[in-house]
Amino acid sequence: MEKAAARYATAIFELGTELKLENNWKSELSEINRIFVEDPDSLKFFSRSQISKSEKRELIEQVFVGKIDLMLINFMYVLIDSDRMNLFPEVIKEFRKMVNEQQNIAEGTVYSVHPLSPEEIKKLEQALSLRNKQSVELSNRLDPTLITGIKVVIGNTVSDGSMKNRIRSLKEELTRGSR
Amino acid sequence: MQLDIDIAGKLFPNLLTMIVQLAATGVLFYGFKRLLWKPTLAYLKKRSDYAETQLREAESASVMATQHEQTAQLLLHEATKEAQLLVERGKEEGKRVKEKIVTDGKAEADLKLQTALREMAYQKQQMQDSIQSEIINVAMLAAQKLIEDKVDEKEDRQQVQRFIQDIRS
Repeated sequence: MEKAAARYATAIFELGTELKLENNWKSELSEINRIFVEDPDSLKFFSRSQISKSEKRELIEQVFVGKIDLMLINFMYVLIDSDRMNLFPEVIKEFRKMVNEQQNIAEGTVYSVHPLSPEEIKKLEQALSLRNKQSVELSNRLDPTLITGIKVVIGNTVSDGSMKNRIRSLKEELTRGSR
Repeated sequence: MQLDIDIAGKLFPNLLTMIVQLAATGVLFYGFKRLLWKPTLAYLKKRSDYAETQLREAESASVMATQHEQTAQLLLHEATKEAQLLVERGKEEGKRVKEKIVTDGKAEADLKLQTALREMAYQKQQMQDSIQSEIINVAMLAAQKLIEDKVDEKEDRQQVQRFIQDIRS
């Protein structure tokens, strides 16, 4: 984590907390970040020196005005003006971490063969929150190698209910038994 | 031609001449006796003493030679005994070295044999493990393939629900 990213993350976290908008900002920034993660070329656009800062600002304006909080648009302007847009994913990661720590939220990833419905994710989050005595927020990622079932990774904890894991366990058991 | 020689007269010696000859011989004998007899005797005695001395020395040398020979024989005998002892010791040492070489060789051979046996056992175990692992891998792949073919999205969602239930319980 770059120190600069941490500084920007701290700035928007403190501002968001002050305005009590940190949860909204977290979901909005995460959504923007998802776009950049899914399409890395869109983030590279902001790093190109051949494109003027005004053109970059204009694009932000066209895409995001009216859809996300104006403060966040201004925040992106700041990153563009200081040629730090490449730090955006790291800033968001750090910002989410700060909000989660403040609200005792554990973020995790649920891997599945088929995309999970919002209801399924919600049920899973509730069940895990109850078990872990801590709010859990999950993002869904596809992993066809699981065969069937799901795998949840929260920090260093892995709960694997996939067929792949069952087959692996069975294989280990058979290998141990044969020796 | 006729020779007039008195052969008979010549065959018999003239008495006067003979007397003169005898007298001359007597003079000569007397002179010899007076002048040469004693020195000759002294010389002969000296020669005899010298010969005797030489003989004694020879005898003495002979005795010493005999003694030396005996000493040499003794030394030779001792040397022979010592040589025999050395040969015996050499033989014993050689035998001991030979036994050691044989013992060491046997020990080394045993060690190599044990190592080879252990290695064989290890390789055998490795091979068995490898075969068993391969069998398990094939079985698991077959099971995986079978499950993949049988499981549909509906079944998958039921699995998700069961996982959630398990967490709740």
